[in-house]
Amino acid sequence: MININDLPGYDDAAPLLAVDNLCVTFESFEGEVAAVDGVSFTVNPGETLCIVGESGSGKSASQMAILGLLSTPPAIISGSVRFCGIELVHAPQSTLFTVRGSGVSMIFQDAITSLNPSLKVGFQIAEVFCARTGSDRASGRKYAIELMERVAIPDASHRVDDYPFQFSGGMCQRIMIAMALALNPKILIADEPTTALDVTVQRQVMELLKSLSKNADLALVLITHDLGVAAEQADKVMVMYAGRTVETGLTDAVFAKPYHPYTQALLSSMPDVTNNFNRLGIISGSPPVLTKLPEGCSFRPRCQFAAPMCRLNRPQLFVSGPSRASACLRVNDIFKKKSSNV
Amino acid sequence: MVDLSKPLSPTDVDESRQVQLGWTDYMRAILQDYITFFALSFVLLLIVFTLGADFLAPHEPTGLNLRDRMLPPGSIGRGGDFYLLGTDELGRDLFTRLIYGARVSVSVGVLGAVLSAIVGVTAGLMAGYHGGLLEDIVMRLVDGMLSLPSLLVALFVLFILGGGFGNLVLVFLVLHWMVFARMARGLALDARNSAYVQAAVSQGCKSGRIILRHILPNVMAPILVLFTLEIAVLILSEASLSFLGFGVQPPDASWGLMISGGREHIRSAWWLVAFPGLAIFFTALSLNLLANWARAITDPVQRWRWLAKRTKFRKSK
Amino acid sequence: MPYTLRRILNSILLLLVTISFVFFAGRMIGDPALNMLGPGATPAALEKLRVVAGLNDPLWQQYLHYIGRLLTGDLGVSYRFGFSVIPALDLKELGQPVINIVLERLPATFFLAGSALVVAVPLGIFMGVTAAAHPRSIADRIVTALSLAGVSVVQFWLGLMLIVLFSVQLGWLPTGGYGGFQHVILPALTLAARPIGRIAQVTRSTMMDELAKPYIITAQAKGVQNHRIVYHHALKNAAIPIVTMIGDETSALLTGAILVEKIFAWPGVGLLIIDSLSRSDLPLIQASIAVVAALVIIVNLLVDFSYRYFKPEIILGRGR
Repeated sequence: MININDLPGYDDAAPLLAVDNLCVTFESFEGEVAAVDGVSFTVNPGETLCIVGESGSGKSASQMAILGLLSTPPAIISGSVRFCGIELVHAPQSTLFTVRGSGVSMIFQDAITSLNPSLKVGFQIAEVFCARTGSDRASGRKYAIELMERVAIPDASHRVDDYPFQFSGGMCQRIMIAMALALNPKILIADEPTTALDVTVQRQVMELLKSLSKNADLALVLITHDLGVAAEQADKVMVMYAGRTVETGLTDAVFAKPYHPYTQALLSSMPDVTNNFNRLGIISGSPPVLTKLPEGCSFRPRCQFAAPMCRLNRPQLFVSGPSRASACLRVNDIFKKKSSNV
Repeated sequence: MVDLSKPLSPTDVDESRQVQLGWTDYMRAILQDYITFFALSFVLLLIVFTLGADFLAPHEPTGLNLRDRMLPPGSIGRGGDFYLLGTDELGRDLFTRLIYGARVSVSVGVLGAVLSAIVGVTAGLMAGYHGGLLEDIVMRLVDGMLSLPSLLVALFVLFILGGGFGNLVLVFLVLHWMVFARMARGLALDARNSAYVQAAVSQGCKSGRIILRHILPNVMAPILVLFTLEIAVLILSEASLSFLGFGVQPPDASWGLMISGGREHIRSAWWLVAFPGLAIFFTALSLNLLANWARAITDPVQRWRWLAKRTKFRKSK
Repeated sequence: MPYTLRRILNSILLLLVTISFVFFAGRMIGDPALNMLGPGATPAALEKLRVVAGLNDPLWQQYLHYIGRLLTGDLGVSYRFGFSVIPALDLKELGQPVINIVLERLPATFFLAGSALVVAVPLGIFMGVTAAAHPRSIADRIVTALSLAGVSVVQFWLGLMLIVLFSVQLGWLPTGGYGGFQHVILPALTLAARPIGRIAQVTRSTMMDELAKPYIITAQAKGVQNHRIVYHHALKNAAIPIVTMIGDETSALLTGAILVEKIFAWPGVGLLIIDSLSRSDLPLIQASIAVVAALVIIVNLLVDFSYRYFKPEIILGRGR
């Protein structure tokens, strides 16, 4: 089996994951739909990046595209995704198979249906380990138990031969995490890993991810619509709207002073213990239909700061500070207005 | 175009999904879909020939012409007659006999399927809707009969009763109603728990009315698909049973019987076997294709895909 | 009652009902003694046979007698094979026991049906999987067309056409008869056409459903190779409808063999059934039907039990 280091383009010095101008377009009956439209970001070793957005904002599609999990066609993918310098967009299948699992792994929202119902969990966890290292089933089983213990599944040595339907949703999510960790990947992409779980279990799973990323020097890309999760977990935050990045920056900075009106609206719709007498903000209107994006800024129809200039062109992401960028034409006006109001 | 100056509202979204398509669009789409078009034309042609055999057949079905025996397809006989598909050992025109054979084969298939569907759907809907003992009895019977080798039972029953059109239809009814019953029962079970039936019950509808007016129209589509497939199955079974001498009896001619008769001359006159078999093949093929198509377009997503590919709809957007 | 036991008892009951139906229906075609001896028999001979065969007893007694002997494996004697009635004193001397005749013919039918299955099952599954893994590709179109053709063709007609082509025109293979490998090719292909189509159709549609499920993406994301995903992950989950179809088609093969055996003069149970029907050899008909029905019921049972292997919930008692 090929190692990641042997793949063409491998470069130790390159960033762990560098996504540049990634676009994902789908053919639909109503024309082409840009589910992801020019998204760029980088992930460094051990870092946690949160991608925040409503459903349909392209956050999942962009991550699926990174691992080549969208079938082409119907998806048309352009741009560049480099893992340690290895180009993954339109890469040969063999490269993708090598990188998946051992370089970048991914876990999904609905853990129960994301596990194969007819295979034992131990087998599913150790499957790629056995295939890549040529180990036999017995050592695969041992390795699976080890991994199950690492993700804190009680009584792992007995439960390794159980089937997914015998586990709860939270346990299934742990199994999926164990499975994703089998080849010691450098990045784990988690697509809303806790959305389908009970609140108490959500916290446990999040804590597990956090400790894994700390102890194993594992970079996390966390897709979520929950700003609370982002605030707690992330080093960096990227906010997406209608397939585009609208704001990105270090977590503290973004939460302290959101530039984009969408981020502001999201934050004001979050309950907050310090001002619990205020009414929660709502974002008027509904998420845009991707086939019928409004002219200019996609958020314009719902934006309280919208001005005629917003119709003219689609705002680009522009840098507005150290590792900080946002895509609003009126950033300066908004802040002027806000400060004059105070 | 939608006015972009206004914010998008939910109604905009709905409008974009509800472009009205008339029957002309369906016709146009069928013309574009060569395979379905072929299947539909073949079946329509078959119906026309079956109903109008007396006017459309080029020769008399029993018109012996010993001078023109065993002529290959496309021959011109001594009397100047043209034989499209050749003649048999008695000098009868094969094409004419095929048309008359279609009458028997197709009507056995259609009649058998209609009767099985009526009995099966009634039993299945009642069993599924009422449940309880009735359901137990019906489903026991269905499961038991479905696990019997049907061709063998058909052979035995026809051996006891004797062949012939009526008995053949009877045997098909007895051995095929279960297929409909099983499907109808499953559909009725789903429907019984659905909101529209619950609503009808709460308004005080009688169960007979609910089954007929509320459930039946909603489960019609899958049953029609099954019905189409069953016609094909029955036409194939009829051919097998008649071939073995237990189905349609001479002087009635069915396609299976024609193959059986042609078998004696298979070395010298291949067309006597080949064409009746091809007739069955294309009939069954067309019915299968139509059933597949019907199944696809009763699913809204697939209907959309099918229409969008073949109409101007996509371009206009 | 455990599920297994209940299913087995159900099957035995079904078999009993079938055999009883055949017994009583068989009496509807007239006097069995006359049937046995033919229209030229003398009244004395008829009466003698009735006494020997117990045909003067009430019907229910005869039926109980029949079922009793059936439990010991005795299904009666043939009216035609080695039949010498006059002056027989014992029923055993009348003719050959039918069960022996049927069992003698079974291997030929098994050989034929087995050959057809060996072709049809792997080929059908392979075609269906390939089509499902590449939807709308050329391969998918070819598989769809071939399976539709296989389902629509009349089996015995296909057999006749194969004989015309390969035996009469080309002279490569024998037109019929029992023998080695050469003899089985054409009948097995004839018999396999339909199961190939049906298995390919059901495999294609269930595999398409399975391949669209979330666990497939999980497997891809963890780096499992495509062919492994298709054949190991998806196929096992698609197995139940496929195995059910294989079971149905195996039963259909056993009865479909009647026509194919007739066309290829293949000396199996199917040909025996046709012969015994045309000679009105009632005991032989009853025995053949009983044996074939038993085989079909056993196949159904095996299919049912195989579900447990593919669906762990069933073994572990969480219902179906």
